[in-house]
Amino acid sequence: MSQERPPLPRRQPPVLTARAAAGTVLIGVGLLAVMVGIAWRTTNAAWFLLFPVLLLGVLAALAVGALWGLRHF
Amino acid sequence: MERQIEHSKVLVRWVVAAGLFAAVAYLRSREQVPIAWSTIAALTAALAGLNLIYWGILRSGAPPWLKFLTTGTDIILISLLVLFTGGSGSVFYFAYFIVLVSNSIRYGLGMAVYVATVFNLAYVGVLVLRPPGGDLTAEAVKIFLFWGVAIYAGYLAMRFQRQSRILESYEETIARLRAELAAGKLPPVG
Repeated sequence: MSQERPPLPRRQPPVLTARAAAGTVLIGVGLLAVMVGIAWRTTNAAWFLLFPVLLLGVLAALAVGALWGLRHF
Repeated sequence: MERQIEHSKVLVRWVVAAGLFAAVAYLRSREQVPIAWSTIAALTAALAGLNLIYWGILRSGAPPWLKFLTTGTDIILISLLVLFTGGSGSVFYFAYFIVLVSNSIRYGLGMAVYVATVFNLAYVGVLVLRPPGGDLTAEAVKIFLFWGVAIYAGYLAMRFQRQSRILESYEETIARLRAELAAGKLPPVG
């Protein structure tokens, strides 16, 4: 009299693959480099108008990387 | 809730405006800031007028866009003050932090990012209209530091808000259980 075990729930496919997470982090590092470059070399303050977009991009990309590293996705 | 916060901001704005006016007038009388008396009067009148308009709007409620408008105009007025009192070297640069801290603590991370973005755009306007000359790295660092303070203050406010909500839900649960106990709906313990 053997009772069949209920099937284990199938593992959900990851929302974010390792390659996509690594790519996002690389883009974030690239944006950071652009930001540092602007801060270091520019002689026109109008370039600082790009900072909000660049900075939020860097933070978002690094957050994706950190969450992926913590197995959140 | 938002109406109460904006009411409080109107009061604080009067106090800060009086303090800044006194400081600017004192420094101008000692000729330490290159600003015309007419500009001081115009900025003060603009601030007082806007504050009265906000107070009038708040009498009938607080529309959701009001907090963004009041914060935006505060930063723009401070930028004008900074512009007319020496640009990047102005002693009134610190006034940006009053707006940042005040709004971040009240509204959280989203508002902190909004304040930092508006500051970034407005301060670039100051730098373009009154260029400091030479290397701009120090100005970039000032903008980065402001962003850093904004994100940190917003993060702390977010944590505080979350803890407040948890505490609020505990208080509601305790009140409900006490009411049920008083009404005899709960079985005796033990």
